[in-house]
Amino acid sequence: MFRRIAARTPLPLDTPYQKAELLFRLHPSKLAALLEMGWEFRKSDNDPLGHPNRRSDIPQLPDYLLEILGADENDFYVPNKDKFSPKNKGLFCWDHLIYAYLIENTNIYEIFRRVIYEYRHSERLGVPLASTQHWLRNTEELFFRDPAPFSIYSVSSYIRPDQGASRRNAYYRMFGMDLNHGTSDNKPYPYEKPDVANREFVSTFEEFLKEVWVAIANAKNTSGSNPKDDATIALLARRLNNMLRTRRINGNLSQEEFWFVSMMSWFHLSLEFDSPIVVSMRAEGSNEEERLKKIANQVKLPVHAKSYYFFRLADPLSRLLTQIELGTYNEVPTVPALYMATIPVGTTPVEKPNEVAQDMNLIINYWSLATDRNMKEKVRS
Amino acid sequence: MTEEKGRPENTPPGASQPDKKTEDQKSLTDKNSDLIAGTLKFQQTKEQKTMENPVETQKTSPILGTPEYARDEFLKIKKALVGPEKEWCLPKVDKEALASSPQLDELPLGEDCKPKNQVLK
Repeated sequence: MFRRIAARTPLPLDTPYQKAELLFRLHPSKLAALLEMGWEFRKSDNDPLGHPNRRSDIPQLPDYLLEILGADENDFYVPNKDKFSPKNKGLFCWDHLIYAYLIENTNIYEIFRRVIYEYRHSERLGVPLASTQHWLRNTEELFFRDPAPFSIYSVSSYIRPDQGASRRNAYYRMFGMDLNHGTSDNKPYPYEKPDVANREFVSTFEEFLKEVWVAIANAKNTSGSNPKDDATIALLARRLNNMLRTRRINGNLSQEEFWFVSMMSWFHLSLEFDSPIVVSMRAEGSNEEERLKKIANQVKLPVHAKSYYFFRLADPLSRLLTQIELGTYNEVPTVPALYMATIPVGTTPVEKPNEVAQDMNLIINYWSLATDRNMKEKVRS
Repeated sequence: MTEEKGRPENTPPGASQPDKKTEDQKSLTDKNSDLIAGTLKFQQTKEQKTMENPVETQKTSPILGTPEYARDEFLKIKKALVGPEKEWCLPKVDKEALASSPQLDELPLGEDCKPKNQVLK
C-alpha cells in the first residue's frame, strides 16, 4: 500500500525516494485517509465475496469523516483517487497476506518497536534528525497504539487486544505457519491457534514448486521422455486455490490482511532506501537486509539470518499466490506459463519473454535458500 | 472532301467514332482497376507489415485459459501491486540536506541510481 503510493503517485518529484520522504512527512490523519481511500477503491467486481477481485463488502469511513481528515488537501490522496477509481470503478488491490508474513519474519516489527522505545526514552541512539521526527511520530501513531475507532485498520478491541497475536493468528489460519520468533524474552508468543487452519499449505506449496522446477528443467526437451507433468501442477494449484479461498469465504480475513500488509509495507519502505530513520541511526546500506542488520545491532535485537531471502521473496510470492487464488493455473492449458521462457503471441510465431517463469525461478531459488529445503531435488525417471 | 466533324486525328474515315458513353465507361473501368490495384497494394503492404511485425495486428486480449492470458494477468497484478522493482533504485540521502531542509527535489542523485553501463568521465 505505502510502497505503491510512494512509487506511483504522479507528483512533480523525480524519484520514488522523494515521494517516500514526502509521505513520511504527512500528518497521521492524512495517512489514515490514504488507507481509507485504498479500501474504498478496492476492486469490487461481480465475483464471490472473498475472491481477489472482490475481497470484502465492508464499507470504509463515510465521506464526511474523510473530509475531516483533510483528504482533499492531501498531496497523495487526490492524484491517487483518480488513479484507483477511474469512472468510479475501484481498481485498487493490495498484497497477499504472505507479503506481511515474510516481511514480519525478518523481525522488522520488533526491531522498530525497540527503536521507537529508545528514541522516546533516552538519547542512547543520539538525537533523531528533524525529518526523522515525522517518521517517528507517524510510525508510533499508526502502528504502536490502538487504532482510531471506526477506521478500516481498527482490527483490535477488548476481544483481541494484541495485534501481534492477531497477525500470528491470521498467518496460522492462512498458511499453517507461525512466525519464527517469539516474544522479546525468547518465549513462544501467546496467541489463539484455531483448529481450522491450512496446515497442509507448506507441503502442498513445496510439492507445487518442485513440479514446476521439473517442468522448467525439461521445458525444452524435444526428444526422449519428458518428466514434466502439467496435470499434476494444475492439480496442486487447484488444491492451493481451494485452501486459500476457503479461509476467505464471505470476505473473511480481508480487513486484517489489508491492514497487516499496509503496516509491513510502511516498514519495508523505510528500509528500501537510506530513509530519514536509516540515516539517523547511521545504518546506511545497499539493501533492506543490510540496513535492518545495522539498526538491529544498535538496539541489540537479532535479525533473522535468512532475512535477505524473505525480502526478495515477498513481492514475487504475493503475486503468485494472488494468481493461484484467482484460479489461473487450475487448468492444464495455462500451466506452461509457469515454466516456459517465452510465450507465443496469439497464433503468430512471435514469442514474448515470460515474466511468470522468471518469478517462478526466483521463488524456487529463494524458497530453497530460506527454508534449507531443496526445491530442485525432485527426480523423476 | 469534308472532314467529319469531331473526328479525331489519325482516325480512318468511316471508322466508327467512340461514343462518349464508352469512353466514360472505360475511364471508370480504369479508375476501378486503379482502385483495385491500390487496394491490393495496400493489402500487400499490410500483409508485409504483418509479416514483419505480427504484434501490431494483435490488439485483442489474449484468449482465456492460454499461457498468454496467464502472463497478461500476471503483468496486470504486478503493475497493480508495486510495479517494476527498478523504480526502487533509490538514491542515497545527503544527511545535511535531510536534517536542515525539506527541499526534497534538490537532493543529490546517489550512486545506486546512475546507469550501470554509463562511462563516467
